[in-house]
Amino acid sequence: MHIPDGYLSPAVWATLDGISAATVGITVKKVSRDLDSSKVSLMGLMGAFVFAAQMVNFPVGGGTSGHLLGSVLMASLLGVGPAILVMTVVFVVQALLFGDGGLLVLGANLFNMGIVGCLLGGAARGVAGRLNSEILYSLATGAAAWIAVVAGAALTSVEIGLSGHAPLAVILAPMLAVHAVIGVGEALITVAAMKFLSVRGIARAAQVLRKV
Amino acid sequence: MKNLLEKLVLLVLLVLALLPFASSHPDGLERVVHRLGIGGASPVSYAAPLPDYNLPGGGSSPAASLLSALAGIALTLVLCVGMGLYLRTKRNSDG
Repeated sequence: MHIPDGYLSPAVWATLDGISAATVGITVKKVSRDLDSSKVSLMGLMGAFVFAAQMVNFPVGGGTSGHLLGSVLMASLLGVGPAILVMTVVFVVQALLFGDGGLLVLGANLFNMGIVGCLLGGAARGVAGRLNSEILYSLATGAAAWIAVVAGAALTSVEIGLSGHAPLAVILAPMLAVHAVIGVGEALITVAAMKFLSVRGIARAAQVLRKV
Repeated sequence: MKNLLEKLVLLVLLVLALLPFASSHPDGLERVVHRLGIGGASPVSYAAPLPDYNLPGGGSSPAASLLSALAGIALTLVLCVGMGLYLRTKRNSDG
């Protein structure tokens, strides 16, 4: 779902660059106040994992593929702030080293596929402390992962629509249809990785620490 | 904690093993914009060092894709750890 340069009008990409830059700026301030040392190596490895996983497109039928965003998983494990910063690194590396996603539209891609999902993952992480059910927590995180993909597709459609390349009505339906399927892949991979990494226990421990 | 890091390394290795099986079909957005004929010429001419996860000038091959993955993993890892260490130092000096 990486938008290349040339798909968004200057007003749209500049606005999204502004929103993303402001979000990253606020996040840097917040994270630099309370970053736990033990998270540093986790941030590196989660960044490496999400970067690599985004390279492995899975088929969704109709000659189309999708790939993991990983933002909900990232925020479930690291918390919202560090997750946004790691996702920023992933999208910068993709754009600069591989030309995956345009340079001017970097803020749009970061917002659509990174920041929104991190906030959703943060909400799912918050639920972990209150739910005593492993199954409900998995469902909440899986739902957040699906919503992250579909919301990202909706935002991408709106941005392309506002740029005047195609009416929103024309682009929105096919984008939502294909990403509703890709989102199922995102949800399955997110929940499987969470179980493997025992993320629920980590999220609960983080909540307990916060309360103390 | 050590256990968690080991599991993450395992996950990265698993993804690398799956890389040759990645679908080469266009992704959701590419598919939709291609079908609708959307898209303008790029206003920036930027030549990425490893364009589209391949070697410059070379076609796609499993080796080029693996090399790209390793380069991207290494750079992401270094930048994220560097950023984390910097922010932690900042915290310590501020407070």
